[in-house]
Amino acid sequence: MGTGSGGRGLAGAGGKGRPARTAGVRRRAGRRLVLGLLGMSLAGAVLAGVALGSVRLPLEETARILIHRLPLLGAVVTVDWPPTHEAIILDLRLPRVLLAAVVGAALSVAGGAFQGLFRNPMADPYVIGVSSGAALGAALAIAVRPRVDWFGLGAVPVAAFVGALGTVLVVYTLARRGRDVPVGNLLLSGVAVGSFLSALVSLVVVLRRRYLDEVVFWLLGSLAGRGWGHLAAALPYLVVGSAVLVSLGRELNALLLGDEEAAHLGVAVGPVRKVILAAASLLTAAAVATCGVVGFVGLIVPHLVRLVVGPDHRTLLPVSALAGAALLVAADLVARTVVSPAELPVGVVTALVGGPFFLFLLSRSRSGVV
Amino acid sequence: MTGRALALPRPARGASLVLEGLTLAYGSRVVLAGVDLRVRPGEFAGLIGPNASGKSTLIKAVSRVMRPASGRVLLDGRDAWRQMTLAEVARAVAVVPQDFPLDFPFTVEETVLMGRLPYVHRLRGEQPADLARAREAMVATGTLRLADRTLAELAGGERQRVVLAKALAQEPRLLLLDEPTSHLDLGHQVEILDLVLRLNREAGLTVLAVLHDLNLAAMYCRRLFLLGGGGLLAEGSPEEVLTPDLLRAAFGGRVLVGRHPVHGCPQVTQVSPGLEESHRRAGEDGGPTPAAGPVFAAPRVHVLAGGGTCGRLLEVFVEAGFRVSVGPLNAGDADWRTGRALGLEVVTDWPFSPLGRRSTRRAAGLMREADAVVVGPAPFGRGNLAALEAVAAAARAGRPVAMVGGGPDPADRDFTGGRAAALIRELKAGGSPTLRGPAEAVTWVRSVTRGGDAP
Repeated sequence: MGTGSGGRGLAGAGGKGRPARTAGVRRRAGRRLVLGLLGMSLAGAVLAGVALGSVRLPLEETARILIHRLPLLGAVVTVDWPPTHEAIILDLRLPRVLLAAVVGAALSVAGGAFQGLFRNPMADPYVIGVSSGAALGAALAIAVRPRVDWFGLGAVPVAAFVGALGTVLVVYTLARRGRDVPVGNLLLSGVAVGSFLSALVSLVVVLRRRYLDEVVFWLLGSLAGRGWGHLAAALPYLVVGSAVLVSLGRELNALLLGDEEAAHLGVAVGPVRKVILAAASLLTAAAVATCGVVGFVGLIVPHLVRLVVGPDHRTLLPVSALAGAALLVAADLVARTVVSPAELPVGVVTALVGGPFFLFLLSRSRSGVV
Repeated sequence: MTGRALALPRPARGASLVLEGLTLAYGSRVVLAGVDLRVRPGEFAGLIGPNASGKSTLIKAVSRVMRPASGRVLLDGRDAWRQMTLAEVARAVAVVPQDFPLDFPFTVEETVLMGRLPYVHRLRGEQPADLARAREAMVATGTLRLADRTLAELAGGERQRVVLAKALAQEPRLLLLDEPTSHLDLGHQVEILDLVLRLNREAGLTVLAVLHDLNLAAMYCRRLFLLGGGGLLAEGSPEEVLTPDLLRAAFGGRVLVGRHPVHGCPQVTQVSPGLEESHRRAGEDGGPTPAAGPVFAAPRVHVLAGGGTCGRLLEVFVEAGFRVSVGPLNAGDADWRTGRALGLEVVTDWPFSPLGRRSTRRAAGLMREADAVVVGPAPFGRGNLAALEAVAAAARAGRPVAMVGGGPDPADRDFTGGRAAALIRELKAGGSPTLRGPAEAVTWVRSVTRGGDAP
């Protein structure tokens, strides 16, 4: 520390102005370990995700192809692989794996932020109806088949994105009471609007039964056929939204104390809540628009991480991002290899694997849900 | 940073708080209208009043939770709502709330560190100086040993000390307490408020506390603000504010105001009309006969007791709302113990010895000041004969004197060779009645003090 508290000494315990090895210090050390482990898991998952698939490529060759494409390091490796391998990796698998990583990260950060904002462990990124709005947009686009090619992505992602954001605006407006937006109102109107929109989705599907499979597959969430275009379209929202939420970690902590207590600590509760809501909704909307409704990641990842690193959002959100990225990359790998050459929706994998694992951890943790 | 290492976080000096024409409303429902109030730097002030009188709302206006409909909140002369940012207010004012989330998952240390939020830069995070301030706050509140535990694991008193530590970590110059002890048991109430008192005395922190418990407010606060009827009803010292009239105006119902036996501050006791009614129905020995009207200026009664003969009499007098003094008595005597337990003014002398001239003189003084003097059925020996002589003197000077019980023949309790019996006969001859029991004594006191008004 700067200038030590010197001779007079505060209560002795710490000695020479050094703070004692308290829980905070221990947790910070633990956090570095967790961050390291998760970083390595993510790198491993990305490598495996790129190497494995219907055509299996050697890991070593995959690594060299990836390194070859990095700036500066590219000259280190010599090109001795068939061009088709490079095409499979760079055009098909890499964008999909990277998209899985950023979407997994985004859903986890958004889920953690919503859980904090609503002080509710049941909250997930879809809690205020984002998924239902996106689903309606996507279902309409699938059913109506407009002959447009917006931003090279087709109509579905764009319609889903618009539906998601439109829903958030409606929910927000319904929940508003004057200047304030009580979180209870937000939850309730989110649930109500969500149910209404889900009913509309069902109606669309019933009226246009031909597209049932396609809509259902989209609803379950999938990364099949996603390319650089999807990644490029979603990335700005995902990066900016995640950065905003991570930087509001201490405000999220304070909000856990209750609105008044947060205000006592100098947090402008109303504006901060709006920013968190906007950032998390944008994140979720971009993720859903590109990948469909991938369930469970945004609910369980923040919980798992909280069990390990504690409830401090300044750590919780970045670690959740890493964990969510690794988890979704791995889940997508399973989704496209386990019944190859067919594919499972990735949301099915996350729920099938994540659910039991989560319950196992929950039953072992002393403190219960949080 | 300065390298200071204090057991207590030391603000430069307490802040002053001035409210000017403050009007607070929930929508169209006005809670407080035009309140002017001034808390001086370093003062320990209390905010009292009935439910929904706007105490907590007033706190919210100061801590920038609820914007006033009109009027100003000035912290050291600066308008908290128009001239200060939220963070500036959070660096000057800390709040200890009544409730804190019960399942709060953070550790004690992390919770206390949250108090540094208004000081911590968003990107740089907490600095060693912030950790040091949080540690000081934990040391001051005795919560350092709990640092690793989560709040959900702590008991009520410990939790509230942690919440206080978090408030202190804000290095406030004004500490607002919103019913900080309402969920705590007796011991922990005093523990928390003693801690706040120490911070007030030693660190010069200005304190404004909403206290539901009027007796705690009287004990700790030098000044009280009584809210009621949508405004400030009274302000002043506890003696000035905690009067039966003001309390009735604010709270309704009947209250008695006595004195704290140890600290001497006013203490408020409720009177239950329902209980009084049932006492009355219970019959002769069931309790005091209630006065015709509410008793406000309680009559002063001096009781000459002794030998454990007057315990019930003293109790009944207190229940009736009289301001009772008793003595002289030897320390340890059964009546002495009762008097002390009831918080009465007891003239005390050495145990098992003749009552000295000084204590007798003091008792005589109390008799002169009293509105009525009551002689209990005590036996009289050489030790307390002087006290009986003082009673006789008071009677000669026109003080109403009555005897309670003691039998028809004064000689039965005379161990002085006739001198005590002679004095008792003299009292009777002078018109002093002999009453049959405590209930009759209450009626008599009220009659000679004209139904409760002080002469």
